[in-house]
Amino acid sequence: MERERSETYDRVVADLAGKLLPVLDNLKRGLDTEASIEASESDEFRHFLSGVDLIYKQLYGVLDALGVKAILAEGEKFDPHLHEAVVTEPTDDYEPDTVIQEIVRGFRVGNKLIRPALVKVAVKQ
Amino acid sequence: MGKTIGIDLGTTNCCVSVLEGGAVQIVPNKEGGRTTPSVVGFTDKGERLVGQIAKRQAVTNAANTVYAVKRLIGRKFKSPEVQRMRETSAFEIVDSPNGDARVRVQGRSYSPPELSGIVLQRLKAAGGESFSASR
Repeated sequence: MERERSETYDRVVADLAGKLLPVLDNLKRGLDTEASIEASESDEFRHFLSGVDLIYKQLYGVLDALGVKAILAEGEKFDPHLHEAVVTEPTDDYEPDTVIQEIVRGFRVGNKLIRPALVKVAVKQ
Repeated sequence: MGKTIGIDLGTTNCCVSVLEGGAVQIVPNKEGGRTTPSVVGFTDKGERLVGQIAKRQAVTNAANTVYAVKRLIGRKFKSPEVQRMRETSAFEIVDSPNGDARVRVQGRSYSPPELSGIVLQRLKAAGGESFSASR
């Protein structure tokens, strides 16, 4: 009974978070782009930007409180249960099958995967 | 009375449905998806991955990840369709003593229906879990 309730909670949260995450992604992309020109802008603009950054962190915090956790990717061993390989890089700098770059962050709630992390994986040269 | 289920074994994706109260309900897979990619991956550790998980590792393990195998069912190795597929597939398609096309992965040869059977087994397991949960 308890397990069933927990699974239902995870499913509902995963469903909601799955719909919210693309909004969070776009907000982050916008902030990353603006951060690069931040220095050349006025004080007012920088204050405004840091305000938007706080809203981003607040939303992230709400999801975290609901149990939505980011999936560890960079430096981890590639795991298709959590990661989705979108590109490989032949290299000797890392062990084969190591995630060398996180392209899109993945999330999960409890044992339920909301979306896998999209990653770049090291392969033998 | 037993339940009526329908399985669409597609070239790219598979789907399982069940007839309940006169309406068709799609049976979600273990990951919650309504369709399951018709993909089987064989890892170095001897694991057999099926569906979305197999697809996620296809880029890193292309030679051992088999997809669209339905196109090979009932085809001879020398047929133009199989020869065309050989040019574009990352996995190895080989000849057999009776002339049928087979797939070789990690030194073992599989018939196309055998690989489709692996996908069907997974669908059956997911369907079984779903039915027992709804009882």
